[in-house]
Amino acid sequence: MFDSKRYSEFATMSEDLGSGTLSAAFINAPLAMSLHAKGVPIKIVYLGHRDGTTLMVGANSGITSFAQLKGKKILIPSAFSNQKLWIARLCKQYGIALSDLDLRVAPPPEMPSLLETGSCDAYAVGEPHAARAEMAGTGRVLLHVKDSWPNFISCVLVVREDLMAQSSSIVQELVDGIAGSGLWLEQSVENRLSAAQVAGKYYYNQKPELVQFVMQKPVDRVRYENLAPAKADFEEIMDLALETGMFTQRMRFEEYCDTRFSESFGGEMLPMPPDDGLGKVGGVKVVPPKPAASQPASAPAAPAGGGNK
Amino acid sequence: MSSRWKKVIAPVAVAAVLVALWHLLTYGAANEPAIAKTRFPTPWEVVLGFKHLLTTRPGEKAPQLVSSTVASVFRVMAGFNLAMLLGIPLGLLMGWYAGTYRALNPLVQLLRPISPIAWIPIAILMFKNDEPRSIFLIFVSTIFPITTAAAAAVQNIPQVYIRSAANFGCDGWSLFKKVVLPASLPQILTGLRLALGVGWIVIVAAEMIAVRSGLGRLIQDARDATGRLDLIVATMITIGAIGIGLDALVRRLENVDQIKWGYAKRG
Amino acid sequence: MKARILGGYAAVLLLVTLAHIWLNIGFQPFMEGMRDLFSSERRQLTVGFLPVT
Repeated sequence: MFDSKRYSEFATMSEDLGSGTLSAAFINAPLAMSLHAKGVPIKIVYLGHRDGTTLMVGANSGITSFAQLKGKKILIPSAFSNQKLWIARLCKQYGIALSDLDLRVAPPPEMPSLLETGSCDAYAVGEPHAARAEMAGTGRVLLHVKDSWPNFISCVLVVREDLMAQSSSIVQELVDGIAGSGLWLEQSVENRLSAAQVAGKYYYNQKPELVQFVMQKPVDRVRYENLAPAKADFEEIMDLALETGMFTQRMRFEEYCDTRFSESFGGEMLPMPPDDGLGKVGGVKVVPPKPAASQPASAPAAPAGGGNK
Repeated sequence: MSSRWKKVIAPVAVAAVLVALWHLLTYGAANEPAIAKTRFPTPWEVVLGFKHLLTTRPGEKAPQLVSSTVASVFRVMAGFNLAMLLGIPLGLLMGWYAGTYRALNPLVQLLRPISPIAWIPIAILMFKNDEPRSIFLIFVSTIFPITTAAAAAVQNIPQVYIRSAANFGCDGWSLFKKVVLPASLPQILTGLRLALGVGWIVIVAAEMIAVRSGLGRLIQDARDATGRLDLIVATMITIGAIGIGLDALVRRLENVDQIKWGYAKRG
Repeated sequence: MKARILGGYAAVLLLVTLAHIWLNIGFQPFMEGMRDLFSSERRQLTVGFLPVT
């Protein structure tokens, strides 16, 4: 049986992973790597999704190019986030020094209002917090990460090593579920929209229209395919992290990643079970799909990764 | 005008004026519907927020506001009770024995000002489960004021009581039960009242660390959903109202005869 | 008098505890949770996440 637990910030999640209270979680990729470096016995086994991050600027700011952000205040969700690395990458492309930007950390849900009130000039964060500003008309998309750093990795699934040792079949089931439901989501827009309905209804107070917006405009704003961890992707992250000083020591891919589960996925697609109106699917071992912004918690079903970072 | 009516009319009038002012200040912006635009809700939106929180969602046994209140009240009561059970005897001992006081008081005063939020990582380390964590945080934030109040209560007992009791041959456990305890009760009760207030404030912060129920969790959820300030304000009002209720209950205890006894002496 | 206050308080405490278990945890999951405390077999996997992509 699977269950999901929603956290409000990474600090508590890191502590719970460290103490063993939590054995599996979706966390930001660089954070996963840094926790491993600190000795927390976790390994990355799968990805949550690809892309799904956006750089937003104020609707009336007149900013049309990243170069104009020199000297401005940009918000990121965490010091250990891939958003920060994306910005570093953009700086390299546009010939700006990372230190020329005023990077600050802020909670993602508050970023749209901070942009609106002018407390920042731009922010880079995962959906749906970019879309909210877009839908409200207070923000404008400067860049979708999919157009800038294709196959961007944001959140990854980490699992504690003792869980992998104790019951690898459960981990395999989890990975199969995420992979299978990802295949289903990629099949058609209708699938994504119905997933968004479930997410909006049971997933706390996020309006379904918002999640549907993220899933549709454009359709590939977030992608759920090709989620097996690949060495090349992580080496790139590691390179950027070392350059920006996020990490001081290089770690090998094999140290913090375990690919056996992704390699053992059979390719079976997993459709979303019918909505019984109660948010629970009784007695069926199925995985609900991954909505862009959150994970449904159905009683016996494994949460489909989806929009976690 | 009856005196009861007089007591009510002034606060009600103040509240009415505040609500009217609130409405005037927020009404203008409210005409633009938006998903991201976070602005302070109008009074009516807060009323609708209450309605949302008071409807039972499918598959749940009670409205969110009710279940959350029960969860938070449970945790505060549990933590507060543990703090009383440990803190009052400890405080009484410290008040009575100067040596104990000298030894323990610095520790108590050192730990007292530490915000429970700083205890969160320790609570997470100590307990795997959500409930013990929150209860522990309440415990840690209420025990020190209770202990301090109990110690001070004993120390403030007029010597004349103790000496008169000794003259009557009253000592040991009997002295404690018949003189020390009744004399310290009023001050202990004040300490309890203050500690309960602190505990109720703390529970909201204590529940923001990924617990699955409670009023603090309700607020965090509304924050995560962005733009649901209507729910946040409605929850805040609920928290305040329960705080008043809890405080009023403790104040009623103060009117019980055995406790008033202590006051009569000071009055 | 004292007995009445203490008795009433204990009753309220019990009531609130039971209401909390009933509303927020559920009696069955509670019993299962108690059993899980003492058994070593894993029955459920909880996956943590943040509602952000």
